[in-house]
Amino acid sequence: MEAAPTALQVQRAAVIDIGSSAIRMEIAQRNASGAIEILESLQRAVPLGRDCFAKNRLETRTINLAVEVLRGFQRILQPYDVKAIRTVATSAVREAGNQELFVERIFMSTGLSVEVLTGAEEDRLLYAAVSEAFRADGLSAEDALIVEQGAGSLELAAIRGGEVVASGSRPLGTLRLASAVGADGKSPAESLDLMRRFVGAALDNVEHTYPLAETPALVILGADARFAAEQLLGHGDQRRIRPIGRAEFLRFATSIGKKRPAELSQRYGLPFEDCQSVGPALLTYAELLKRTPAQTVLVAMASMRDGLLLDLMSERSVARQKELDAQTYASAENLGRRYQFDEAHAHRVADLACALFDALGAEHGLSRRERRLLRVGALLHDVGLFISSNSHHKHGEYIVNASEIFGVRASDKSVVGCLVRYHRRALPQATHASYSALTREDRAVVSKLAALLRVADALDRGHSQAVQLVTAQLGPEELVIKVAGEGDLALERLAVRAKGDLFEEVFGRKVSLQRAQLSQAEPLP
Amino acid sequence: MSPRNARPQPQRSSPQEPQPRPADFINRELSWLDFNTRVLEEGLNPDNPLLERLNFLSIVSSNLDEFFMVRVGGLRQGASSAPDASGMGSRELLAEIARRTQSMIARQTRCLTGELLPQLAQREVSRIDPASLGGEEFAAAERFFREELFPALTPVAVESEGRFPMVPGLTLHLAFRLRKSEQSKDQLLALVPMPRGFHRLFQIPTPGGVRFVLVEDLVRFFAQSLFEGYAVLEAVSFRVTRNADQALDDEESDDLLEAMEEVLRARKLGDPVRLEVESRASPELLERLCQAFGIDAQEQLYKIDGPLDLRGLAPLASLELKSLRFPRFESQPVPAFEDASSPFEAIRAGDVLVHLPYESFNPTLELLRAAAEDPGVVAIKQTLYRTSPDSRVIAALERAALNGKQVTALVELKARFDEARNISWASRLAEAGAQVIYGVVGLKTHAKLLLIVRREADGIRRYLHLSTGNYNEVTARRYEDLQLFTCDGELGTDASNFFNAVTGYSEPRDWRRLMVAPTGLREQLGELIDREIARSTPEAPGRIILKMNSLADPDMVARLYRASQRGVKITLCVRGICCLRPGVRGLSQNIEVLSVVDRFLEHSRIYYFGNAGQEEVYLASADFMPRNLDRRLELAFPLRSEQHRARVVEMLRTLLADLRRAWRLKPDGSWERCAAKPGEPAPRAQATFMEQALNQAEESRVKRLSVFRPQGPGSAPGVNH
Repeated sequence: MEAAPTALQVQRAAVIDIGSSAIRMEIAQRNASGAIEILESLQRAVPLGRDCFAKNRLETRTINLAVEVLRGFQRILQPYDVKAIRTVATSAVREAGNQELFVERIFMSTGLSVEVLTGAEEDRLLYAAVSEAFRADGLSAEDALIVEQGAGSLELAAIRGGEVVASGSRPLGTLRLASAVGADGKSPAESLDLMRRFVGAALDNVEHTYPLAETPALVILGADARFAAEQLLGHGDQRRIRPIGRAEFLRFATSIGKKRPAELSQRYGLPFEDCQSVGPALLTYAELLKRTPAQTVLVAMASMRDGLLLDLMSERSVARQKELDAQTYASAENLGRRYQFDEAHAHRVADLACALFDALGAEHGLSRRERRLLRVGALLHDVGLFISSNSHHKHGEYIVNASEIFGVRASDKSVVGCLVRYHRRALPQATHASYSALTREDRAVVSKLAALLRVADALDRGHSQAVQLVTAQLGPEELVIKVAGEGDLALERLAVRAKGDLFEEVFGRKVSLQRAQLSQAEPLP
Repeated sequence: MSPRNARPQPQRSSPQEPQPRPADFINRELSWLDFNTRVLEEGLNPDNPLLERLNFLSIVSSNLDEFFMVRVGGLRQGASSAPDASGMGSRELLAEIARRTQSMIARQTRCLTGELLPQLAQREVSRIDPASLGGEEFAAAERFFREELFPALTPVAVESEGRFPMVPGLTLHLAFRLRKSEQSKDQLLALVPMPRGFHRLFQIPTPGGVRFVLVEDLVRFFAQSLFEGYAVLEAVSFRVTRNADQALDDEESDDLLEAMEEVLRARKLGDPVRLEVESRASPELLERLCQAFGIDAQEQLYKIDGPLDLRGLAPLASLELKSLRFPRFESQPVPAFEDASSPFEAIRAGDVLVHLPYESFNPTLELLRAAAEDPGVVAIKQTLYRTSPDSRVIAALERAALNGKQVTALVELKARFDEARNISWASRLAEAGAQVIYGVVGLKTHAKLLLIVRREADGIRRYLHLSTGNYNEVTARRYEDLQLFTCDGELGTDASNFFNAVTGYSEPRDWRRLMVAPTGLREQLGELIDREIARSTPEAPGRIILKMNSLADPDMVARLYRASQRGVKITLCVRGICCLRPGVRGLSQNIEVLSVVDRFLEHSRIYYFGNAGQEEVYLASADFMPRNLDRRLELAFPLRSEQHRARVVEMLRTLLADLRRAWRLKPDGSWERCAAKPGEPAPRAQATFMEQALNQAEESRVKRLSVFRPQGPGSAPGVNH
């Protein structure tokens, strides 16, 4: 994993999004006032989702088309001399049986490395894009449900008090919906009714996680949502967040739902591909809206690609970054709670680990991303205890890998999984499958972070939060950790000696624990 | 962009609105004939100089040629046999067209032979009958015939029962009726096409004055040498016009270039739709020709008492004879560009609006030339619809491609009658390394757009040139158009996306500022008209002013009627076809229609909406015709500078105040000249624009002179200061 270029260096960037029904690209630059300015937006229909959802694999013909489209995009990209390019794929590729083959083919033919996003990563990006749109219009999204129905999946993110409290991806894409209901031989009214019932059943399920009746605002995005906004509010609207009245939206969704795709194409001049999705998508939004008390539906002129660009380009303020990090930690804590973790211990270990990370900055040379992963790993290091205390580090690893953590992308999640795995017992080894699957860079990251985590865990050996870190100083021979706290530190010394093994291997120093002088007893922030 | 998603059904007005009846529409073909009559009127207008009048007559002919080939051709083919919005069936219509064109041509010919030629002769520009030549002059004419013309002539004999030879459309021919010998009764018909590559006029080398002989007169005069041993009984010129409305089947063709060449061949061979013959022809010759071409003598035969095909007289109109021409006018330099060190700098300083031909086309060429050489420029993309031969536009693009810039040219091969020209330079560009796209399947590219991508210190900047006119430096001196130079980022993104769509790299996206046909222009115009209705109150009625070449789209006409019924004041400045019937109580009493036909061809399209005081002005490539809104790639762009909007509004005001070259459409569908009341001033818009341009250029010249500007390092010492 190459380190993401720091925001300040990126003047121009491009993001390519390989979706279920289309491949899209945005080229952007930072303009003189520092804002992100879109230079070009491209989109070509490529029916990856159709293949994947019908046959569970991507057909060669479709892959070839994807290659052709990407090569065209590269031609458009060429004069701009863009260094920062991020290529991501979503549900169709994510779920395809031959995902690796696809990624490999694209790399061989275009040199682009495709990153397959997890649903949670998608949701984080959507949320980042939507809140940016709200900010741009001088609004804020405190409590809302953000929804985008793609061809492959329905993405949901619930916001409470400005934080993502739940997010996830449901296999309820428009393509799936249309194929599940089937249009053959049915009148439009019959199909509409059938689809409504189908969506209704699926939403019953959604309500378990997202209490729709308590959702004050519904934010929808995507091409179908934009279509509704344009039809109902006209083309001249320049707002990024466009409210449509509840009754008006429901009426419109029904009238669109009753029309056949060919009719829509005729009537609105929509591309045929869009005509097939717009009916099911508006219907799903309408059914969601009916279950909420919201009086308007908010159409956000934002997409996951905006989120990607923000990631690549924005000169993000420290405050803003902290805000996003906080969302990630909150999501990790939620996961921990589900597995009944020792919350106090988890927090203490996380704080200690981060304090060590900060103190050793010059030595480990790692960045903000790794610090975030360390904290997430530290918060979750003991979740495996829920299964059994034996091998709980291994149980913890698979729990992490099978869960979604807001803001943690797939490759990063493997790093977190490894951290959990190596917080105790065996040191990282090439024979461990999950470790050896990491890139060389990430293997080094795991070793360094696990070394810190083991020491931090040792410092709260008694799970009593008795010890507070005061300073950590790296000398030529040893790492001297000075702590304040009650007790004789015997337990902690023992633990540090046992768990300092990896630290010694990685950083070439022993770890020594000392009691801080009273005058020094100002704990680190 | 594919045509499949390109034809949104017009947003019909809501069902409770009464739909206009057929009688509410003026037939589009007849309205076109009215336009050509207005052009003819300028030929007849003694207020115009003689050679300019001749030029107008020649335009009438070339307009009619196209009309017969395409419109009449189409009607005859029965392609449009369903009645149009005006409810006229094609049979009835063809008869009416014949009636009107017969009279139009008769007036045109009378004007030429009865007025212009005699008056020109008094001013020493004379058409000469070869028989009256003597001495040196005769020798010169005879030598020209023998040495140059004769070798190029290819007479074809027609056996009396034999098959008729192929006669290509629009080519002037002489038909000779011959007799074998004095005694023989056997007659023979021979056809001689006037050779390609020769001017219609042979100018006799003579001191003082211009004396010319028509080529067909020369051939007729020396015909005996073509037909040794035969007696020439009759020699008559004629011309056939063929149906050229061959729809290019591009849905089927993978290679537009190939398909286009196919159509070019076919155009010469379509069914005859009109036969023009000198009126001196004998009844038997007429009958023979009519029969040979399958011409209905009642409806399709035009007997002309004078020279045929007045297009051939156009070269006379460009003779440098000051007293017989409009006063010379040079397009004036554009101050914003004069004052800047590069076109890029000028545009960065602010959007620039240029009014052709009053202001010069040079900034466009200069921008292209600079872009081709500028190291910061990385890509140039341009639509090319009709461009001039040896175009500097093409040369600049070629140069840019050779300099390694990414050059994309969207070349429209379907520009009517220019295809042959387009095909050759398109290949040249491709050879230089440019990406040449031959149009979009199913859609004609009529939009005029130039996009230059330039890397600058603070990022990518895109320079745009948006225009209502083509990239053609020749017509830029004769056509009135508006051009906008800008580096607005949002328009830039739209422009990039436009090219990505037409080059097939992307599907059309949402447009930020542009309105684009066929994806949304019709819909958005509808919204703008509806908004005007919504904001109209009896105290402050809505206001719409539209300037365009043609208004024929039934849906747009219906929308304008509706706006009128709701009190919106509408002024239409339509040069050509107008199917809307203005001033009818209860239907269109708030609409007036004007047409300006003058020295320069009114060509800009302007859409003005009062919008309750927040005026909006759009410039566009699109007329309100079904073909423009549904089957062509067209652009409309907003003027964002208040100063530009004010300037265009003032322009419209000037145009609508014209009392010398303006016409008004009456409720009965006829046109009348606008005239000043006796004793009141009679302004002429184009004269005003010329004067303003001269004044403005002079002002900025004076301003520049009054400022000392240090000479930049490295520049040559000034010479003419």
